[in-house]
Amino acid sequence: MTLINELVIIYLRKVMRMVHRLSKMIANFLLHKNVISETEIDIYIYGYETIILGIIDFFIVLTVGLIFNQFITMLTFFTMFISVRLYTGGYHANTVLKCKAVFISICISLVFLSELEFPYFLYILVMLLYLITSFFLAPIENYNKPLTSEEQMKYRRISIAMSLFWSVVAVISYFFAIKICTTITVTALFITLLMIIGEYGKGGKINEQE
Amino acid sequence: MSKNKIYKLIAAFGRKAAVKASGTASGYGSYQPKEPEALKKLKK
Repeated sequence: MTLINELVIIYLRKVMRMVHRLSKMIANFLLHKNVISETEIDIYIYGYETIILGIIDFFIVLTVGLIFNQFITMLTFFTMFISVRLYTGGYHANTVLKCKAVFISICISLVFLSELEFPYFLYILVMLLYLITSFFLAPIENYNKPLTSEEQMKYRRISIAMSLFWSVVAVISYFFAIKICTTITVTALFITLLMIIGEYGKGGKINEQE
Repeated sequence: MSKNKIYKLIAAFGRKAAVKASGTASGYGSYQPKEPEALKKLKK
């Protein structure tokens, strides 16, 4: 069993290293074809890396949704998670492998937690915690992505607006779609935890290198 | 569509993704690739 685990980890590491290599390959190919300039090659590598990582995440969400027959739940989670995390920031793993492990764990936990029904006050409590955390902590700066003071102000405003929007959606959906409400609340809880870990733990600010 | 047009389209897609990503506080996933210096200069 340990041997299988190690083989899976080695395989995943290779796959994740491939993301950077593949991005580099595409950019080098375009450079060779004189479509892009050498001074801007890093921009393209970064762009392709972002696209490939996004596609991998989408496939993870799609796979978990199909395996557990929770497609709507996963779609709601993905929409909220993307729209909020882009502006609040938070914990980031130091390798792509760890990142994907965290992301898969969140997806699977969400599938099980969204099946439960909690008392109304608990939903309110979690959404309040999410609102307060967004108000005081967002945006959380990452070592790999420093922000200017103007950007911080802008993203802070967007984060607060987003948290207000999702809180309203959660409160309304409680009365006619409890599962959507639970999904939003659990996603808000994960986003809050990732913000707190990013701010007070070492996850959000460390340099990330393969 | 000629090959060159397809290459230009792929390049534009990559550039747009990079510029879009630079207009956010972080990546939405739990991994944040290092933002290139050239992109920071481009933003200014």
